[in-house]
Amino acid sequence: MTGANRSELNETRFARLVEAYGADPERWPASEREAARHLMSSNAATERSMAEARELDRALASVISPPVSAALERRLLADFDRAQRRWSLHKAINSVAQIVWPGAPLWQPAAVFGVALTFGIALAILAPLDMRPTDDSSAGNFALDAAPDSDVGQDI
Amino acid sequence: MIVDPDAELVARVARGDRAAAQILMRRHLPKMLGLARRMLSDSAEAEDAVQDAFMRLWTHAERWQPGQAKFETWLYRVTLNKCFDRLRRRPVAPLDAAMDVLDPAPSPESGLERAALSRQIEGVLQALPERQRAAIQLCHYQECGNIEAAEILGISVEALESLLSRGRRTLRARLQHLKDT
Repeated sequence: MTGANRSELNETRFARLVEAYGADPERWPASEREAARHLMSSNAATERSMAEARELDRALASVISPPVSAALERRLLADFDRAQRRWSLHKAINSVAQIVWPGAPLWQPAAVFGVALTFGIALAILAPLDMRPTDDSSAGNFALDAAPDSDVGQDI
Repeated sequence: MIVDPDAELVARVARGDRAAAQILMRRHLPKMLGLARRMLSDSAEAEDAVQDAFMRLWTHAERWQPGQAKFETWLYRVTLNKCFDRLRRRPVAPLDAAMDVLDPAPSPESGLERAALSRQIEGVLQALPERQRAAIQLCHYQECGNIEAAEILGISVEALESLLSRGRRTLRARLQHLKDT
């Protein structure tokens, strides 16, 4: 019930409020608090429900909360530092990607790079053997073998 | 527009400000840990649940949009969901086991230590269905207003009141022996 005024808040609603939120008016819904305060000690029934609720509130309040350990605080801050490092790396990759492909989201240059890399690897694996470059020593031998032939012409 | 006392700090955390992260952590950690401890009844597991919740904060701070919901409400919801996830992964314990803590209890009048009484009440809270327990945690221990608590749990205020009433009725019945002895 929201926006209730004093006349709307009857004893039934008061009993439900106390049953749900307990005897402390600070826990009651703000919209009904003032009206409910006026019913707090209006008769024996409301006083009884308040007394019962107060008893349970006291029992619940006796639960002790252990303090927060310094080790947990350190763990959380270490997590923050780790998350920042990951985030910094992500930002660095992103800024490189912005230079390569301005205005594009990171996945686009990453996808192009990935496709190019895959194509390059596939080409290296599937290329026929005779397409591979010959080694430098055999090329040198060919040059030495050719040299006397060219001298023949010069003697004429 | 919701005025959020944490909005500025969250924005600084999103920019990588460690000091802001520390302030935000110190402001909310005790409440979140209290909530997780009472939901899970296991300190180590509660710390892990809270650590998961804060990790989500550290990694999602830049996506936070002030004005939609209070930051604290969001953090409560994340923490509570982490607790629910852990509770669901647990093997189902028989109810008798949860209630065992009640049996040997001497009354507070006979000089029971406060710590023992605290453990006893925590045992009774632990035996409540998880939604009722969460509602009582939020309204009683975390001092959330009814609208905020309902928002955290994703239910209406009427449904919240129903959870609270049923939870408190069960607690009163199970703690009756404290009054009788």
